Amino acid sequence: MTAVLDFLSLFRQRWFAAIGLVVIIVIVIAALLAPIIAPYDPLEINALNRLIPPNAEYWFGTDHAGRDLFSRVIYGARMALLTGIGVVVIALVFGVILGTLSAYYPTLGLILMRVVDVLMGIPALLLALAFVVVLGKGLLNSMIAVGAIYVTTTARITYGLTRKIVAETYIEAVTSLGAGDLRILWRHVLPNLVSPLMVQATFIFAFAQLSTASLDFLGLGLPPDVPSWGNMVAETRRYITRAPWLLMFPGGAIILTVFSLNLVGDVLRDRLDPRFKDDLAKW
Amino acid sequence: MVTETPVLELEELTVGIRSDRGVFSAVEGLSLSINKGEVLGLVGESGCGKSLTALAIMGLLAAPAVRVTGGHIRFAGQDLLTLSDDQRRRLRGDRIGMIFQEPMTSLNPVYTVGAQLVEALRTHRPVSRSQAWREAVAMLDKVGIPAAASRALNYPHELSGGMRQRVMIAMALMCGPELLIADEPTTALDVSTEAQLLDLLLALRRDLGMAILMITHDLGVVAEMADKVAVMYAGRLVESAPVGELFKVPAHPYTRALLGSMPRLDVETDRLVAIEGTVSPPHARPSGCSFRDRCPKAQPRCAGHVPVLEHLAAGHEVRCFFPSVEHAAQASP
Repeated sequence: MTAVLDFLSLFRQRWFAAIGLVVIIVIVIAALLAPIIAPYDPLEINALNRLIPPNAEYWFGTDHAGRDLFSRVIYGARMALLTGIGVVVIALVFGVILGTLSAYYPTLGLILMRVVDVLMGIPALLLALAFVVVLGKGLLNSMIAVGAIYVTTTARITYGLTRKIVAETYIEAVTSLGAGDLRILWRHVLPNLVSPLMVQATFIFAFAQLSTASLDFLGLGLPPDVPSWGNMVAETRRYITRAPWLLMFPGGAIILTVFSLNLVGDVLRDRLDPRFKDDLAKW
Repeated sequence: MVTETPVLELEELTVGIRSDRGVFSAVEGLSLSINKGEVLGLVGESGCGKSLTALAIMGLLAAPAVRVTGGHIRFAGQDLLTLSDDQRRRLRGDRIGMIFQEPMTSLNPVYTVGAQLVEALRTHRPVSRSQAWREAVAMLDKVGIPAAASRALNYPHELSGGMRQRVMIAMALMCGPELLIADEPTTALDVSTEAQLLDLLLALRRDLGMAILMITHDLGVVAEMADKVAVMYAGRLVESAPVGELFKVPAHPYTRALLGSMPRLDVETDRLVAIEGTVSPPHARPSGCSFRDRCPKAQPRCAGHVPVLEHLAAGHEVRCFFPSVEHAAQASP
């Protein structure tokens, strides 16, 4: 409870970031309660109701198949959060394993970090596309494809942080107490990585939204019948002049989510990264 | 108190450093021995190899760049250099404990001190968590931490430097080591805290019968703590003697200079005598005696070859062609 209050107190005097936090909470609630909130079935096709502009009955209008866009955007939040979490988990798990081992075993690190360098040289979307081509389309595969992009950056950050932690006297002290390598990494290095990586996780979550939406837009992400924001934007291409709301609402949802996550991420970084302690952004 | 079984015996220990300037010896042919319950003060300036000696005993040298290139390290009669990595790891923290110079950074900030003591014990002993916690509190009490039971729940940042060093000592002692290596344990602390900690170490030595290798650059600490003193200069042992003898009849010019640079209460002096120059780095040491470029007594002979350790008196050895024999008080270095 105190941890929650402590977290909330960070947002005092930072109303902009506070709004971001509220937006994220709203999105999470929308995702969790989608079946209750959504007025219509997001997949129900109704040829009679095609391309109706926003009105009192259909808040966000309807799409080319007559599906209620508001319901689809609400269900889209589920996909957004699901892929976001998946990408963060993949990026953190593999990034942390690669980064800590590389930092702890310098010879291994020399090899692994050069591989990471090469992967970072490949444009992010191209790397994701390569994964999709190999693995095929689908929810898990797009998580893996986008996760792969952020494994490299996470490994990089973890490598640097671990190098610093391993040089600390307390690591030397536990080594002198007879602790083995695994115990040191698990019990002493990892807990000290949690705060900086939490900040990293928010930013990965935000950018994963953009990357997965891009994959969906290219038709290489989720199957087209899944109501994800990226898919919705992709479908509107042909109707964009006749029905601009089809682009506005799902596109707006993506922008709002990414922007809010970044705002919250900034606050977390101010709090958890000692380098920014002195110049806390207050707006 | 002092028996004749050496807990630790170094024989011609040589530690090599590999760098882009080549391979050189940071510790060269160092021989020492510490008996059960004995305190050996290992003295020298920064960079003389005393900390590397400690790390070599612990098996914590930064391999492959720094490693033991020759000699033997015998602990309780067993040559440590013939043991596997895992066997050495099991000795660390169990039979050989170590405390470090910086108490402020030697504890992991994310765990309570009690948890860290518990871990130190459970690394080596199959005891339950609750049993380990009781032993941890008892050990904190033993090292003089008031209200140990509640202090055990504190995080390191909630303790002062002196308290943290006490915790470090408690951690090193959890498994009851036969040898404690203390690498400048009081350097970062203020004088009154230092005195308390040295008293504590002596009391623990008495109670637990462990040997202590006290690494320091402070002869005051040595005078208070040690039974025997070994003085190192530029990687070599230059003089070793029982503590009283060393302070009374320092034979090596370097030892005399060290004593001369120390403030004394019984002799009135306007200023302390500094030793001219600095320790030459390992890759650029003079030929022969490595102290000759700073030595007031240096002769051409000193450049020829390294003097061997000469036996002067019982337990008193010196590595110098021209050792002093007069008492320190009359000598002017």
